[in-house]
Amino acid sequence: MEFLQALFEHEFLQRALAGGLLASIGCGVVGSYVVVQRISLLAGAIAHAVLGGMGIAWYFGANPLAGALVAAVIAALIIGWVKLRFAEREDTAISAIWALGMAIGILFISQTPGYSVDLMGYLFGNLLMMSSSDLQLILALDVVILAFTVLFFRQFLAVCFDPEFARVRGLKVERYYLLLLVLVALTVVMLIQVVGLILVIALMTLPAAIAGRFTHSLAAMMGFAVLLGMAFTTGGLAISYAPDLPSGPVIIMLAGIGYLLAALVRRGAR
Amino acid sequence: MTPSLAFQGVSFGYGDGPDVVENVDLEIGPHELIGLIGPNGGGKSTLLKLAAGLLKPRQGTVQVFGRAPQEARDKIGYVPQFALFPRDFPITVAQAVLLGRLGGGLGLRWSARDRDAADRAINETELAPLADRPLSALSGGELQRVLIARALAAEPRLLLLDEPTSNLDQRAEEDIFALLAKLTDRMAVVLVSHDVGFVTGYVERVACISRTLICHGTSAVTGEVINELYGHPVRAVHHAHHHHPAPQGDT
Repeated sequence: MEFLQALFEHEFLQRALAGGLLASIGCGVVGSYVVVQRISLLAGAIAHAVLGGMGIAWYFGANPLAGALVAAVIAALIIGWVKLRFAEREDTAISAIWALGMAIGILFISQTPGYSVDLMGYLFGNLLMMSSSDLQLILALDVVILAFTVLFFRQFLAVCFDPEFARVRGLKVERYYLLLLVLVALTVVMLIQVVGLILVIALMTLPAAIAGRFTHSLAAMMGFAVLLGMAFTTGGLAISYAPDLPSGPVIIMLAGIGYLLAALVRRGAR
Repeated sequence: MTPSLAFQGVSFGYGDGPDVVENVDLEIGPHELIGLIGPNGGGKSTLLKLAAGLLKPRQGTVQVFGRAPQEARDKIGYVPQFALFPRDFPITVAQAVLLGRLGGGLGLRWSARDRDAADRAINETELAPLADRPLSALSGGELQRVLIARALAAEPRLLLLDEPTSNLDQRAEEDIFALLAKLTDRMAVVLVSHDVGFVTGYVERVACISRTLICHGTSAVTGEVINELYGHPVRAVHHAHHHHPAPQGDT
């Protein structure tokens, strides 16, 4: 109740709520691709490597999110290239990019005068700090993600479902695979503002993984994952508000509990 | 007449490795049902992938209706090994079959022409009652028919199947072969099997592959040839329709 009342009074809470809801859209759509393709480790590597871009941007006084966007896309393309060309060393290469990105980020941040608490916000997220320009960025990323998903829905489906068959049909599988990874990168940047880069991977995969247990088509999975994401972010925000807890971890706790419950329900139904 | 599929002096190996297939010559006519048989690792799946244009030969040429496979894609139907297929993907039978129509089209809606072709393939494979089921709810034989339907949706004139009946019970196996035999009135059908015994009972012709083409013909699959092919006696040849468990996995 306290949360509802505060929601009417405080604009920052309204922005936080809107940010969570909007980010859930791209998150549910791209998260479903990540889950059906089983590339959550890859998504995690992109998320962590992003710190490199943020640190560099920070050091040079640019917007850390712009740095995150550039770093995420570069990391996605490098990882995708490694995966497509050197599949046998994929595991090591992904871990290396994961760690290198973070190392670069920490080095640059350590050399930046006026080491700021905002760093915690990027690591663990802080919905309450959402500015209207952050909101606009999330909205823009949603539009890009949805546009590509609608346009290339059948191509992405074919690449995820059976890439070999897609290749026989003449599809440029590598091109669509890299495009999908770029969408993952955009989603990472969007979710960093909600739960921070360390927890991104959970928010991206848990709602989609739950949705996948109850749906029989990719589109339905995406729709359900979006709704679940909205429920988790809104619920996390509401629960964390009164006791002044960090919202990101509470959101992830909710998603984790939801995942466990779904696993139990599904097992009971069988 | 141009053969449906022709290998001429084809050799292929993966990466810098040795040749897995070597100097293979083989021609397949327009209405043939032919089995590529041989031991695991003998290169039959590799030949199928060469025919599908998934691999390019080191030496020699592969032609599908007189063109490179990559340029004849609209005529090729490809059915991968269903036994290795991920079953938990959230997709229905109808959606999976529609993916056989994959081409230049964009957007969420498939064209009426695409949907008609997919419907025909679903009916031909007797999947209509299952069209809205998820793949995860299908039996092995049903899943195999979905993958065949997906290939047929493209209206191919050359159908390539990799181990289409491994892990199927005898009834499902017979259904699949009855379907394939029916299809030969409008396309050539090439299937790969490690199970020489039962395949010879169904197909018109076999080509025995163990790195290279060892034998070739309808009645030539004698005991000595089988011994040469597998390196040891295989007991299944004379009871042709009896399916027995065989080692899984392939190249």
